[in-house]
Amino acid sequence: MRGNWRIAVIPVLMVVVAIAHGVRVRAFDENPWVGAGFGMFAEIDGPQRAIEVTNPAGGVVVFPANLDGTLARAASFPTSGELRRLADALERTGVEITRLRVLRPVYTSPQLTWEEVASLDNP
Amino acid sequence: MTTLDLMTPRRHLLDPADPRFAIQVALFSFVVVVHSDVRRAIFGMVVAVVGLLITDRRFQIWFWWALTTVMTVWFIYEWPTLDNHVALSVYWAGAIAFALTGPDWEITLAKLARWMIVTVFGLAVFWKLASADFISGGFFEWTLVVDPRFAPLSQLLGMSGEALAANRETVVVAGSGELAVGGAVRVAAQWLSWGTLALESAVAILWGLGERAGKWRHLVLGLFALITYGLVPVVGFGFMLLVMGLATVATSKARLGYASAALALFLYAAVWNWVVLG
Repeated sequence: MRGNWRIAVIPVLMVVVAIAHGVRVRAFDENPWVGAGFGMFAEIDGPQRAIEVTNPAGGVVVFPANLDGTLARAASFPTSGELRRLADALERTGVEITRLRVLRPVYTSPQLTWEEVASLDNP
Repeated sequence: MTTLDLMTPRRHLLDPADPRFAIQVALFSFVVVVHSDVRRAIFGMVVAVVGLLITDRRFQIWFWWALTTVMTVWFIYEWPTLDNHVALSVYWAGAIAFALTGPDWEITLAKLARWMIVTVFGLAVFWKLASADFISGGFFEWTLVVDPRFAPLSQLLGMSGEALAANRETVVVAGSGELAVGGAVRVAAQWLSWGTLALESAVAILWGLGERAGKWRHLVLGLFALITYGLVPVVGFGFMLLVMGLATVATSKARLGYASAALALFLYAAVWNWVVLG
């Protein structure tokens, strides 16, 4: 039996982290495909999330979320802190924002619609 | 008459007869897993080269613990966007560090690899069973009509390239409406859903049984890799699974089999990505 803890510790850690990821998916709408939960290729919600930016003139620009950096992070883990960080990053590039929304696809064959995951008004 | 000298450590690099072969091949997984940008590619190559040069057991232990620490910091920082194969590589670095620290490291590493494979596949099956999208076949139907990685399969099933491009364009701009679903996509989505669930469950169960499953556990892991990564070569994950499988076998022939499969996957994925994704 000696040394068995060494064999158990990593699989147990993997399960604990996966449970924590599951909690984050439920509580914070984290992307179920990432975050060490091993839930890839199970849910439609995931890599195709989008970020919709509305400007003061009412114009709307959509960014695919499968880009690197702040955009991907905000889409994947859309807490108010991450959305604010994204808004700051966009405003530094000269983009004016009145509303920021993270959207996920909802597919009921063959209809595609989009559901709001999180939003930030007048950042 | 020749005698088997068990006291003299072998000094050959990448010798399948040496148990250290599993750790040496694992070093290449850091090149494969973290190749997505230049800085990460350099990091992976430095890890592989330094790891191969260190032959002293005490320094190897330090090296693997240091690598585990660095990658854990990276894991925590990137957790919200961390790909699961990168997470698996961090766990595998930790597994090697743990194994090397104790006695009979190759036996410990083989047991760790076995239970990590069970955990990965157990979690993958759990997520699929918990997903209404997956059970209904909706997930694979969606994937076949919008995911560019599945385009060759979708076209084999009767979808036109134009219809797939139009579907992808709708998704990229977050447009709503009816997507094109043609050919045998709906039937194939059902087969893919239940086939994936059956195969992943078989891997989890047979690896859980361990020695009692005999060669079947290696065959089913090989079958999973062949079917899954043959269709869509997710090279990082496939490479990690084969590297872990390699650590569970004790003969040169079996070690070479796993290492060859990992190399074949790497080369196939490079060609596939170039041809299909451009």
